[in-house]
Amino acid sequence: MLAFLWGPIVVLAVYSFNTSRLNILWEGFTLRWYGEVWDNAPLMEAARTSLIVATITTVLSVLLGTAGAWLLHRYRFRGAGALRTLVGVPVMMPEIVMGVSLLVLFAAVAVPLGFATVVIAHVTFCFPFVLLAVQARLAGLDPALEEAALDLGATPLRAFWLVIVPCLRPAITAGALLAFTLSMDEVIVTYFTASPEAATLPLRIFGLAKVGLSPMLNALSVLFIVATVAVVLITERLQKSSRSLSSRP
Amino acid sequence: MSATVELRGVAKRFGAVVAVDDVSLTVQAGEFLTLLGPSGCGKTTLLRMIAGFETPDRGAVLISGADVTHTPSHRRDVNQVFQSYALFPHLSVRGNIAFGLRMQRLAAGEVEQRVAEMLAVVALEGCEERKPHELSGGQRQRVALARALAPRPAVLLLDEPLSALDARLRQTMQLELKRLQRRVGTTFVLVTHDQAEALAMSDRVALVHRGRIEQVGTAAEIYDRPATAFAAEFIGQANVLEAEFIGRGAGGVDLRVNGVGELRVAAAAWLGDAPRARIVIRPERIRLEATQPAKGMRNAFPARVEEKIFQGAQDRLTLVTPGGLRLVATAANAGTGEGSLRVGDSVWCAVYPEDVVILRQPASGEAGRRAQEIPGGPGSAEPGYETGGRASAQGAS
Repeated sequence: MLAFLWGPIVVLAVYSFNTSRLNILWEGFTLRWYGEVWDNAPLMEAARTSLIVATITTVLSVLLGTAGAWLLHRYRFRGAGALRTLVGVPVMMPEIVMGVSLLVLFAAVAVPLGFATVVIAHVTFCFPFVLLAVQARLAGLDPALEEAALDLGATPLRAFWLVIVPCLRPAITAGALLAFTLSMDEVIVTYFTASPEAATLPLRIFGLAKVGLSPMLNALSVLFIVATVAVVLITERLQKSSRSLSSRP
Repeated sequence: MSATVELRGVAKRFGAVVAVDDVSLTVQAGEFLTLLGPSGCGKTTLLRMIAGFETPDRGAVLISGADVTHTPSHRRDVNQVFQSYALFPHLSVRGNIAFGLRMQRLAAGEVEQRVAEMLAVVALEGCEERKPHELSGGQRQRVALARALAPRPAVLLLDEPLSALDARLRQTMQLELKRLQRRVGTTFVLVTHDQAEALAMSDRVALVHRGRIEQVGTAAEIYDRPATAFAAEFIGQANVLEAEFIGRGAGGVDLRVNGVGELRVAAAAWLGDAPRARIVIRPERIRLEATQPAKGMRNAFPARVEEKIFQGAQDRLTLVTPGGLRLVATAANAGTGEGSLRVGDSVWCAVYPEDVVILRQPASGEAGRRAQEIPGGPGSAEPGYETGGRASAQGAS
C-alpha cells in the first residue's frame, strides 16, 4: 500500500535529479532543473503570488472561521442550526461547482477578475475548514472556563482573548495550516477566478504541463511535496498537543 | 451583622420549567450558608443568579446592599469555585491565581504578593509553575479556591466543590473549607445535594425544593424542628405520621395516630383549628424498653421488631405496632449479650412529648386551603416560609 502511495513520488524525486531531458533514462546526477526553476521568472512570480494569496487567505480564514465557530457555539440564535449546515455543505461541494458559481457571481456584480477575486474565492472554500476544526475543539471545552474568566472580572472580549483563544490555539493552528495548503495547491476554483496576471503557481504548472513535460516540473513538484509533508507533520504534532490539553479530570 | 447577599422574591423559568419560584433569602456577612437540595431543585440557578450568570425574571439580587440584578458577572464583587474547577489549562498555578488580580489591574508587585499569600492559605507553596493537568484532584480544588479568593470578593460561591473528590478526601476538605472560611472571614455560599456536607460545614442551611426555600436555619434547627415533611426526610431519617387532634391537655395537645394510639405532644401552638396534621418523630427519639413502662404513662406503645439492619455503632430497626404501623427506630449496638434486640422480639416504645414535631403544613387532603386560613401562622418570621406550606401541599397531593 505504501509502495502504491509513494512509488510515483519516489520516481518523480529521482528523475528530478536526472541529467537527461527525458524521464526514461538515468544519465547522471544534476541540480540543474532546480536552478532552472529558480531562474524561471514567470514561475517564481507565480510562486510569489501563490504565497501571498495563501497567506492572506489563511489570515482571513482564521479570523472568519474562529469568530464564526465561537458565535455558533456561544450564542443561541434563530437559524443557528441552519447556518451550521450551510457552512458545512461547501466543504463537500465539488470544486468545479464552486468555481463556476463564483465566476458567475463576480461577473454578475461586475468585479474584474484578478488578485482580489482569487483571495475571495480561496477564503470561501478555506474558512469552513477552520470553522469546523475550531468548532470540534469548542464542543469539547468546559463551558465553565468562559464563566470563570467573566467571574474573575474579565470582560467578555478579554475572556475570549485570554482564555478561549489560548484553549483553541491547537485547533486554530491546524485549521490555518489546512487553509494554507488548500490555498497553495488549489487549481480548479482559481482557474475560474484568476486573471493571467494573478495566476498562482499551480495554475502556471498546469499551463506548462500542457506544453510538454520538462524535468523542471519534476523538480518543482518535489519542492511542493517537501513543503506539503512538512505542513502535515506540523499539523499532526499540533493535534497531539491539542488532545493532551483537552483531557479533563 | 449586615447582609452580604440578599435575594428579594427572585423567580426564573426556563421555557415551561420553573427553576426558581419567588425566593427571598438573606446571607449575613461572614456567614457560611449552604443551599441544600436534590438535583434539579433550583439551587444551582440561585447560585448562578448571585454570580451573574442568570438574570431573574422577577425580583432583585443585592450584594453588599447594592442592587446588582442587571450587573454582568465581571462587574460583581463575587467569585466562584466551579464544580469542574474550570482552571485555565494554558496557565500555571500562579497564572490561574493571578488572573482575577490582573483583571483588577493591580501592580505586578501586589499581584505577586497576593499570589504568595493565597498559595500559603491553601498550602500549595512550591507548585506555582505547575500546569493544572500536573496536579491531583485535591490540589486542583485548592487552586480553584485560591483563584476565587485572591481578588478578595465579598462573597465566595461554591458549586458542589467537593463532588469530584473521593469520599475520604471529601471529608478532609470539608473540615479544611470550614477552617479556611473562619480564617479569611469571607461570606461563603455553597451549593450541595449532600446533606452530610451541609451539616458539617454550614452556619445555616437553606433547604431548596421545587424552586422554593422550604426552611432556613442551623443544621440542628432543621433536624430538630423540620418545618415540612420534605425537610424532615431530606435531612436525616424521619417517621412522618398522620395525626388527628383530639384535645388539649397539660403542657400540650393530645393527638390520635392510627396504629399507635394517643400521643401527648408538647406543642406551643397547634395549627389553629385544623383537625389533622402531620407529625415527625426521629428514629433515635423513639426510646425502646424491654418491659412495659409504669401503667398510665403517656406516649408508650408496644411493637414488634420486623427488620434489623446492622450499621456499626447502631442498629436500624423497623418496628410494627399491633395496629400495623411501621416505624423506624435505632438502637445502640449492645453486642450479642443481654438487651440486644432480635427480629421478632417485642418491645415497648416511648416518645417524650417534646420529641414530636408538628409540621407547619396541614395533613394531605386539607391541602393549602387551611394554610391560607391562618393569617401570620407559624413560620412567618422566616422569609420564604409563608409560601413553603403551599408548595409542599402541592407536592404531597
